[in-house]
Amino acid sequence: MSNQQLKGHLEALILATLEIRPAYGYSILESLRTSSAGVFDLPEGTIYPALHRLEDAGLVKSTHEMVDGRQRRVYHLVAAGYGSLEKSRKSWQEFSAAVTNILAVNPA
Amino acid sequence: MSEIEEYLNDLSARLKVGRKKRDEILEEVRDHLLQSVESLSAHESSSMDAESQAVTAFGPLTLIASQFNADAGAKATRRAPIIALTTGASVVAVFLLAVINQPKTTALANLPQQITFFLSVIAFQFALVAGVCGLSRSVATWKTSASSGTGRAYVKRCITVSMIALSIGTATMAANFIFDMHRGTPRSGMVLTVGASSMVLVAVIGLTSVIKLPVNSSSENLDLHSSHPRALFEIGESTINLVRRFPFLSSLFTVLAASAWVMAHAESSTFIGAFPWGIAEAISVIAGFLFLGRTLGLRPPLSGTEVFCSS
Repeated sequence: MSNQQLKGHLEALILATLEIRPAYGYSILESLRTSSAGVFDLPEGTIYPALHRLEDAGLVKSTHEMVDGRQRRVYHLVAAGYGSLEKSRKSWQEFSAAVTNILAVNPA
Repeated sequence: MSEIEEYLNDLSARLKVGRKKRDEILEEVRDHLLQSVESLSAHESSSMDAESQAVTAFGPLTLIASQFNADAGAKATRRAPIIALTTGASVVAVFLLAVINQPKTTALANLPQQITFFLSVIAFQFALVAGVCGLSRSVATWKTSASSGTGRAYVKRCITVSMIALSIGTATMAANFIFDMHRGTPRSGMVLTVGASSMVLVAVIGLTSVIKLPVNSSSENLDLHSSHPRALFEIGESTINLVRRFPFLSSLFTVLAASAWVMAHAESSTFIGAFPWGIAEAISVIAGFLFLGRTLGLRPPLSGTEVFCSS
Protein backbone atom coordinates (compact mmCIF):
# COMPACT_ATOMS: atom_id res chain seq x y z
CA MET A 1 0.00 0.00 0.00
CA SER A 2 1.39 3.39 -0.91
CA ASN A 3 2.01 5.97 1.78
CA GLN A 4 -0.38 8.25 -0.08
CA GLN A 5 -3.23 5.82 0.59
CA LEU A 6 -2.37 5.75 4.29
CA LYS A 7 -2.80 9.51 4.62
CA GLY A 8 -5.57 10.37 7.00
CA HIS A 9 -5.90 6.79 8.22
CA LEU A 10 -2.68 6.53 10.17
CA GLU A 11 -4.15 8.17 13.27
CA ALA A 12 -7.12 5.79 13.27
CA LEU A 13 -4.82 2.80 12.81
CA ILE A 14 -2.71 3.92 15.76
CA LEU A 15 -5.80 4.37 17.92
CA ALA A 16 -6.98 0.88 16.98
CA THR A 17 -3.58 -0.54 17.94
CA LEU A 18 -3.64 1.26 21.28
CA GLU A 19 -7.14 -0.01 21.94
CA ILE A 20 -5.67 -3.48 22.46
CA ARG A 21 -3.07 -2.32 24.98
CA PRO A 22 -0.83 0.66 25.77
CA ALA A 23 2.24 0.67 23.56
CA TYR A 24 5.30 2.67 22.49
CA GLY A 25 6.21 3.80 18.99
CA TYR A 26 8.32 0.84 17.95
CA SER A 27 5.81 -1.73 19.19
CA ILE A 28 2.92 0.11 17.49
CA LEU A 29 4.81 -0.14 14.19
CA GLU A 30 5.46 -3.82 14.74
CA SER A 31 1.77 -4.39 15.44
CA LEU A 32 0.75 -2.48 12.32
CA ARG A 33 3.20 -4.47 10.22
CA THR A 34 2.08 -7.79 11.64
CA SER A 35 -1.65 -7.05 11.53
CA SER A 36 -1.43 -5.83 7.95
CA ALA A 37 0.78 -8.76 6.90
CA GLY A 38 3.48 -6.31 5.87
CA VAL A 39 1.21 -4.19 3.66
CA PHE A 40 1.67 -1.08 5.81
CA ASP A 41 5.34 -0.34 5.48
CA LEU A 42 5.67 3.38 6.00
CA PRO A 43 8.83 5.29 7.00
CA GLU A 44 9.03 4.40 10.69
CA GLY A 45 9.66 7.95 11.85
CA THR A 46 6.34 9.23 10.52
CA ILE A 47 4.51 7.49 13.35
CA TYR A 48 5.92 9.88 15.97
CA PRO A 49 4.49 13.15 14.62
CA ALA A 50 1.16 11.30 14.36
CA LEU A 51 1.42 10.10 17.98
CA HIS A 52 2.23 13.62 19.15
CA ARG A 53 -0.75 15.00 17.22
CA LEU A 54 -3.02 12.45 18.88
CA GLU A 55 -1.68 13.44 22.28
CA ASP A 56 -2.13 17.14 21.54
CA ALA A 57 -5.70 16.41 20.49
CA GLY A 58 -6.31 14.69 23.83
CA LEU A 59 -6.98 11.28 22.28
CA VAL A 60 -4.00 9.52 23.85
CA LYS A 61 -1.86 10.13 26.90
CA SER A 62 1.80 9.25 27.31
CA THR A 63 3.79 8.13 30.32
CA HIS A 64 7.51 7.53 30.68
CA GLU A 65 9.07 4.24 31.69
CA MET A 66 12.70 3.34 32.25
CA VAL A 67 13.71 0.33 30.13
CA ASP A 68 17.35 -0.80 29.93
CA GLY A 69 18.46 2.61 31.21
CA ARG A 70 16.52 4.39 28.47
CA GLN A 71 13.43 6.58 28.79
CA ARG A 72 10.57 5.01 26.88
CA ARG A 73 7.39 6.89 26.08
CA VAL A 74 4.33 4.66 26.33
CA TYR A 75 1.01 5.78 24.87
CA HIS A 76 -2.41 4.95 26.34
CA LEU A 77 -5.80 5.47 24.75
CA VAL A 78 -8.09 7.77 26.76
CA ALA A 79 -11.88 8.17 26.71
CA ALA A 80 -11.89 10.74 23.89
CA GLY A 81 -9.66 8.40 21.89
CA TYR A 82 -12.16 5.56 22.17
CA GLY A 83 -14.87 7.91 20.91
CA SER A 84 -12.73 9.08 18.00
CA LEU A 85 -11.88 5.49 17.11
CA GLU A 86 -15.55 4.55 16.99
CA LYS A 87 -16.25 7.47 14.65
CA SER A 88 -13.33 6.47 12.41
CA ARG A 89 -14.58 2.89 12.29
CA LYS A 90 -18.07 3.96 11.28
CA SER A 91 -16.80 6.38 8.67
CA TRP A 92 -14.41 3.77 7.22
CA GLN A 93 -17.16 1.13 7.05
CA GLU A 94 -19.41 3.51 5.10
CA PHE A 95 -16.59 4.55 2.81
CA SER A 96 -15.27 1.05 2.14
CA ALA A 97 -18.78 -0.30 1.55
CA ALA A 98 -19.40 2.42 -1.02
CA VAL A 99 -16.09 1.82 -2.80
CA THR A 100 -16.64 -1.93 -2.77
CA ASN A 101 -20.10 -1.51 -4.28
CA ILE A 102 -18.74 0.60 -7.11
CA LEU A 103 -15.65 -1.46 -7.80
CA ALA A 104 -17.62 -4.70 -7.68
CA VAL A 105 -19.64 -3.71 -10.73
CA ASN A 106 -18.29 -5.50 -13.78
CA PRO A 107 -20.09 -4.43 -16.97
CA ALA A 108 -18.65 -7.38 -18.86
CA MET B 1 30.31 9.28 15.98
CA SER B 2 27.80 6.49 15.38
CA GLU B 3 25.37 6.74 12.51
CA ILE B 4 22.49 7.04 14.97
CA GLU B 5 24.07 9.98 16.78
CA GLU B 6 24.82 11.63 13.45
CA TYR B 7 21.17 11.19 12.41
CA LEU B 8 19.97 12.61 15.74
CA ASN B 9 22.27 15.62 15.42
CA ASP B 10 21.03 16.34 11.91
CA LEU B 11 17.42 15.92 13.04
CA SER B 12 18.02 18.25 15.96
CA ALA B 13 19.43 20.89 13.60
CA ARG B 14 16.37 20.69 11.37
CA LEU B 15 13.72 20.77 14.08
CA LYS B 16 12.07 24.15 14.55
CA VAL B 17 10.38 23.46 17.87
CA GLY B 18 10.97 24.53 21.47
CA ARG B 19 13.90 23.08 23.44
CA LYS B 20 11.75 20.86 25.69
CA LYS B 21 9.87 19.43 22.73
CA ARG B 22 13.14 18.89 20.84
CA ASP B 23 14.62 16.93 23.74
CA GLU B 24 11.48 14.79 23.99
CA ILE B 25 11.54 14.03 20.27
CA LEU B 26 15.23 13.16 20.23
CA GLU B 27 14.89 10.90 23.27
CA GLU B 28 12.01 9.05 21.67
CA VAL B 29 13.74 8.71 18.31
CA ARG B 30 16.94 7.51 19.97
CA ASP B 31 15.02 4.81 21.86
CA HIS B 32 13.34 3.72 18.62
CA LEU B 33 16.58 3.53 16.66
CA LEU B 34 18.42 1.63 19.41
CA GLN B 35 15.58 -0.83 19.67
CA SER B 36 15.56 -1.23 15.93
CA VAL B 37 19.32 -1.94 15.99
CA GLU B 38 18.85 -4.55 18.73
CA SER B 39 16.16 -6.24 16.70
CA LEU B 40 18.20 -6.19 13.48
CA SER B 41 21.36 -7.40 15.24
CA ALA B 42 19.40 -10.36 16.56
CA HIS B 43 18.74 -11.28 12.93
CA GLU B 44 22.39 -11.63 11.99
CA SER B 45 23.13 -8.10 10.82
CA SER B 46 26.46 -6.63 11.88
CA SER B 47 26.27 -3.70 14.25
CA MET B 48 27.26 -1.20 11.53
CA ASP B 49 24.78 -2.61 9.05
CA ALA B 50 22.06 -2.67 11.68
CA GLU B 51 22.57 1.04 12.46
CA SER B 52 22.51 1.91 8.81
CA GLN B 53 19.34 -0.13 8.21
CA ALA B 54 17.64 1.33 11.28
CA VAL B 55 18.35 4.89 10.16
CA THR B 56 17.18 4.17 6.61
CA ALA B 57 13.98 2.54 7.81
CA PHE B 58 13.25 5.47 10.10
CA GLY B 59 12.86 7.71 7.07
CA PRO B 60 14.52 10.68 5.35
CA LEU B 61 15.47 13.50 7.71
CA THR B 62 13.65 16.11 5.65
CA LEU B 63 10.38 14.18 5.80
CA ILE B 64 10.49 13.46 9.53
CA ALA B 65 11.67 16.95 10.53
CA SER B 66 9.10 18.63 8.28
CA GLN B 67 6.25 16.69 9.88
CA PHE B 68 7.33 17.66 13.38
CA ASN B 69 7.82 21.26 12.23
CA ALA B 70 4.42 21.35 10.58
CA ASP B 71 2.84 20.22 13.84
CA ALA B 72 4.63 22.97 15.75
CA GLY B 73 3.64 25.44 13.01
CA ALA B 74 0.02 24.36 13.29
CA LYS B 75 -0.03 25.16 16.98
CA ALA B 76 1.67 28.49 16.43
CA THR B 77 -0.87 29.35 13.73
CA ARG B 78 -3.73 28.76 16.15
CA ARG B 79 -2.10 31.20 18.58
CA ALA B 80 -1.90 34.00 15.96
CA PRO B 81 -5.57 35.07 15.94
CA ILE B 82 -5.74 34.73 19.73
CA ILE B 83 -2.85 37.19 20.03
CA ALA B 84 -4.56 39.51 17.55
CA LEU B 85 -7.88 39.42 19.41
CA THR B 86 -6.25 39.98 22.79
CA THR B 87 -4.16 42.86 21.46
CA GLY B 88 -7.09 44.46 19.66
CA ALA B 89 -9.36 44.17 22.70
CA SER B 90 -6.64 45.58 24.98
CA VAL B 91 -6.05 48.58 22.69
CA VAL B 92 -9.78 49.33 22.57
CA ALA B 93 -10.04 48.99 26.36
CA VAL B 94 -7.09 51.34 26.96
CA PHE B 95 -8.48 53.83 24.44
CA LEU B 96 -11.88 53.84 26.15
CA LEU B 97 -10.33 54.17 29.61
CA ALA B 98 -8.27 57.13 28.39
CA VAL B 99 -11.13 59.08 26.79
CA ILE B 100 -14.30 57.95 28.55
CA ASN B 101 -14.25 60.38 31.45
CA GLN B 102 -12.63 63.30 29.64
CA PRO B 103 -14.67 66.50 29.63
CA LYS B 104 -16.37 67.37 26.31
CA THR B 105 -15.01 70.27 24.34
CA THR B 106 -16.70 72.38 21.71
CA ALA B 107 -13.44 73.62 20.25
CA LEU B 108 -12.88 72.60 16.64
CA ALA B 109 -10.07 70.14 16.07
CA ASN B 110 -6.99 71.69 14.49
CA LEU B 111 -5.47 70.40 11.25
CA PRO B 112 -2.79 68.11 12.79
CA GLN B 113 -5.51 66.57 14.95
CA GLN B 114 -7.78 65.98 11.98
CA ILE B 115 -4.97 64.42 9.97
CA THR B 116 -3.80 62.11 12.77
CA PHE B 117 -7.37 61.11 13.59
CA PHE B 118 -8.10 60.29 9.95
CA LEU B 119 -4.84 58.32 9.57
CA SER B 120 -5.56 56.33 12.70
CA VAL B 121 -9.08 55.52 11.49
CA ILE B 122 -7.67 54.22 8.19
CA ALA B 123 -5.01 52.21 10.02
CA PHE B 124 -7.60 50.69 12.36
CA GLN B 125 -9.71 49.72 9.35
CA PHE B 126 -6.74 48.00 7.77
CA ALA B 127 -6.07 46.24 11.07
CA LEU B 128 -9.67 45.12 11.30
CA VAL B 129 -9.91 43.81 7.74
CA ALA B 130 -6.58 41.97 7.85
CA GLY B 131 -7.36 40.62 11.32
CA VAL B 132 -10.76 39.35 10.21
CA CYS B 133 -9.12 37.63 7.21
CA GLY B 134 -6.63 35.79 9.43
CA LEU B 135 -9.13 35.06 12.17
CA SER B 136 -11.86 33.80 9.87
CA ARG B 137 -9.50 31.52 7.92
CA SER B 138 -8.11 30.19 11.17
CA VAL B 139 -11.55 29.52 12.66
CA ALA B 140 -12.87 28.02 9.41
CA THR B 141 -10.18 25.40 9.42
CA TRP B 142 -9.16 25.20 13.07
CA LYS B 143 -8.23 21.54 12.91
CA THR B 144 -7.16 21.07 9.33
CA SER B 145 -5.91 24.25 7.66
CA ALA B 146 -2.72 24.30 9.60
CA SER B 147 -1.75 21.07 7.92
CA SER B 148 -1.11 23.15 4.84
CA GLY B 149 2.03 25.26 4.95
CA THR B 150 0.48 27.83 2.63
CA GLY B 151 -2.54 28.07 4.95
CA ARG B 152 -0.30 28.73 7.93
CA ALA B 153 1.70 31.35 6.05
CA TYR B 154 -1.54 33.05 4.97
CA VAL B 155 -2.89 33.30 8.53
CA LYS B 156 0.41 34.67 9.82
CA ARG B 157 0.63 37.20 6.96
CA CYS B 158 -2.89 38.48 7.69
CA ILE B 159 -2.32 38.80 11.41
CA THR B 160 1.09 40.43 10.92
CA VAL B 161 -0.41 43.04 8.57
CA SER B 162 -3.19 43.56 11.09
CA MET B 163 -0.73 44.12 13.95
CA ILE B 164 1.41 46.50 11.87
CA ALA B 165 -1.70 48.51 11.00
CA LEU B 166 -2.79 48.46 14.65
CA SER B 167 0.63 49.75 15.73
CA ILE B 168 0.47 52.56 13.17
CA GLY B 169 -3.10 53.32 14.26
CA THR B 170 -2.16 53.55 17.92
CA ALA B 171 0.90 55.69 17.13
CA THR B 172 -1.17 58.18 15.13
CA MET B 173 -3.88 58.12 17.81
CA ALA B 174 -1.19 58.86 20.40
CA ALA B 175 -0.06 61.81 18.25
CA ASN B 176 -3.70 62.91 18.14
CA PHE B 177 -3.82 62.87 21.95
CA ILE B 178 -0.64 64.95 22.11
CA PHE B 179 -2.06 67.56 19.69
CA ASP B 180 -5.24 67.58 21.78
CA MET B 181 -3.24 68.35 24.94
CA HIS B 182 -1.41 71.19 23.20
CA ARG B 183 -4.50 73.10 22.16
CA GLY B 184 -5.57 73.93 25.67
CA THR B 185 -8.58 71.63 26.13
CA PRO B 186 -9.57 70.88 29.72
CA ARG B 187 -8.65 67.21 29.29
CA SER B 188 -6.29 65.39 31.62
CA GLY B 189 -2.86 65.34 30.03
CA MET B 190 -1.65 62.62 32.38
CA VAL B 191 -4.50 60.22 31.50
CA LEU B 192 -4.06 60.88 27.78
CA THR B 193 -0.28 60.38 27.96
CA VAL B 194 -0.56 57.13 29.90
CA GLY B 195 -3.37 55.95 27.60
CA ALA B 196 -1.44 56.80 24.43
CA SER B 197 1.78 55.13 25.57
CA SER B 198 -0.08 52.04 26.80
CA MET B 199 -1.90 51.66 23.48
CA VAL B 200 1.35 51.85 21.50
CA LEU B 201 3.08 49.47 23.89
CA VAL B 202 0.29 46.88 23.72
CA ALA B 203 0.19 47.04 19.90
CA VAL B 204 3.97 46.65 19.59
CA ILE B 205 3.96 43.69 22.00
CA GLY B 206 1.22 42.09 19.87
CA LEU B 207 3.20 42.70 16.68
CA THR B 208 6.41 41.28 18.16
CA SER B 209 4.59 38.19 19.44
CA VAL B 210 3.08 37.49 16.04
CA ILE B 211 6.36 38.01 14.17
CA LYS B 212 8.06 35.53 16.52
CA LEU B 213 5.45 32.81 15.95
CA PRO B 214 7.19 29.82 14.35
CA VAL B 215 4.58 28.85 11.75
CA ASN B 216 7.52 27.29 9.87
CA SER B 217 8.09 26.76 6.19
CA SER B 218 5.18 26.89 3.81
CA SER B 219 6.46 23.69 2.21
CA GLU B 220 6.06 21.74 5.44
CA ASN B 221 2.69 20.08 5.24
CA LEU B 222 1.06 17.47 7.40
CA ASP B 223 -0.30 14.32 5.84
CA LEU B 224 -3.89 14.84 6.81
CA HIS B 225 -7.14 14.58 4.99
CA SER B 226 -8.76 17.96 5.04
CA SER B 227 -12.30 19.18 5.18
CA HIS B 228 -13.74 22.05 3.20
CA PRO B 229 -13.35 25.41 4.90
CA ARG B 230 -16.69 26.64 6.19
CA ALA B 231 -17.81 29.54 4.01
CA LEU B 232 -19.55 31.26 6.92
CA PHE B 233 -16.25 31.79 8.64
CA GLU B 234 -14.36 33.05 5.61
CA ILE B 235 -15.74 36.50 6.35
CA GLY B 236 -12.59 38.48 5.64
CA GLU B 237 -11.79 36.87 2.30
CA SER B 238 -15.46 36.97 1.26
CA THR B 239 -15.63 40.68 2.03
CA ILE B 240 -12.53 41.43 -0.01
CA ASN B 241 -13.94 39.44 -2.91
CA LEU B 242 -17.34 41.14 -2.58
CA VAL B 243 -15.82 44.62 -2.68
CA ARG B 244 -13.71 43.68 -5.68
CA ARG B 245 -16.73 42.29 -7.50
CA PHE B 246 -19.20 45.10 -6.66
CA PRO B 247 -17.08 48.22 -6.06
CA PHE B 248 -19.92 50.68 -6.81
CA LEU B 249 -22.51 49.06 -4.56
CA SER B 250 -19.94 48.55 -1.81
CA SER B 251 -18.94 52.22 -2.03
CA LEU B 252 -22.57 53.37 -1.90
CA PHE B 253 -23.30 51.19 1.11
CA THR B 254 -20.20 52.42 2.91
CA VAL B 255 -20.95 56.09 2.17
CA LEU B 256 -24.47 55.73 3.58
CA ALA B 257 -23.35 53.72 6.60
CA ALA B 258 -20.49 56.09 7.40
CA SER B 259 -22.72 59.16 6.96
CA ALA B 260 -25.29 57.67 9.33
CA TRP B 261 -22.52 56.93 11.83
CA VAL B 262 -21.21 60.50 11.62
CA MET B 263 -24.74 61.87 12.14
CA ALA B 264 -25.33 59.60 15.11
CA HIS B 265 -22.17 60.87 16.74
CA ALA B 266 -23.17 64.51 16.28
CA GLU B 267 -20.15 65.53 14.25
CA SER B 268 -22.79 66.79 11.84
CA SER B 269 -26.48 67.00 12.56
CA THR B 270 -27.69 66.66 8.97
CA PHE B 271 -27.23 63.96 6.39
CA ILE B 272 -25.89 66.48 3.83
CA GLY B 273 -23.36 67.71 6.39
CA ALA B 274 -22.29 64.17 7.18
CA PHE B 275 -22.08 63.11 3.53
CA PRO B 276 -18.48 64.33 2.86
CA TRP B 277 -17.31 62.40 5.92
CA GLY B 278 -19.11 59.37 4.54
CA ILE B 279 -17.40 59.72 1.16
CA ALA B 280 -13.99 60.10 2.81
CA GLU B 281 -14.67 57.08 4.96
CA ALA B 282 -15.85 55.06 1.95
CA ILE B 283 -12.75 55.93 -0.07
CA SER B 284 -10.52 54.75 2.75
CA VAL B 285 -12.51 51.55 3.27
CA ILE B 286 -12.71 50.59 -0.41
CA ALA B 287 -9.08 51.52 -1.04
CA GLY B 288 -8.19 49.54 2.05
CA PHE B 289 -9.97 46.43 0.86
CA LEU B 290 -8.56 46.64 -2.67
CA PHE B 291 -5.08 47.44 -1.44
CA LEU B 292 -5.11 44.72 1.19
CA GLY B 293 -6.42 42.15 -1.20
CA ARG B 294 -3.99 42.78 -4.01
CA THR B 295 -0.86 44.38 -2.64
CA LEU B 296 -0.52 42.84 0.77
CA GLY B 297 -1.38 39.37 -0.44
CA LEU B 298 -4.34 38.84 1.85
CA ARG B 299 -6.27 36.96 -0.78
CA PRO B 300 -5.94 33.25 -0.13
CA PRO B 301 -3.13 31.61 -2.10
CA LEU B 302 -5.44 29.09 -3.72
CA SER B 303 -9.18 28.70 -3.64
CA GLY B 304 -11.22 26.24 -1.61
CA THR B 305 -9.94 22.78 -1.02
CA GLU B 306 -6.81 23.17 -3.14
CA VAL B 307 -5.25 25.10 -0.32
CA PHE B 308 -5.94 22.39 2.17
CA CYS B 309 -5.01 19.37 0.14
CA SER B 310 -1.61 20.54 -0.90
CA SER B 311 0.39 18.04 1.09
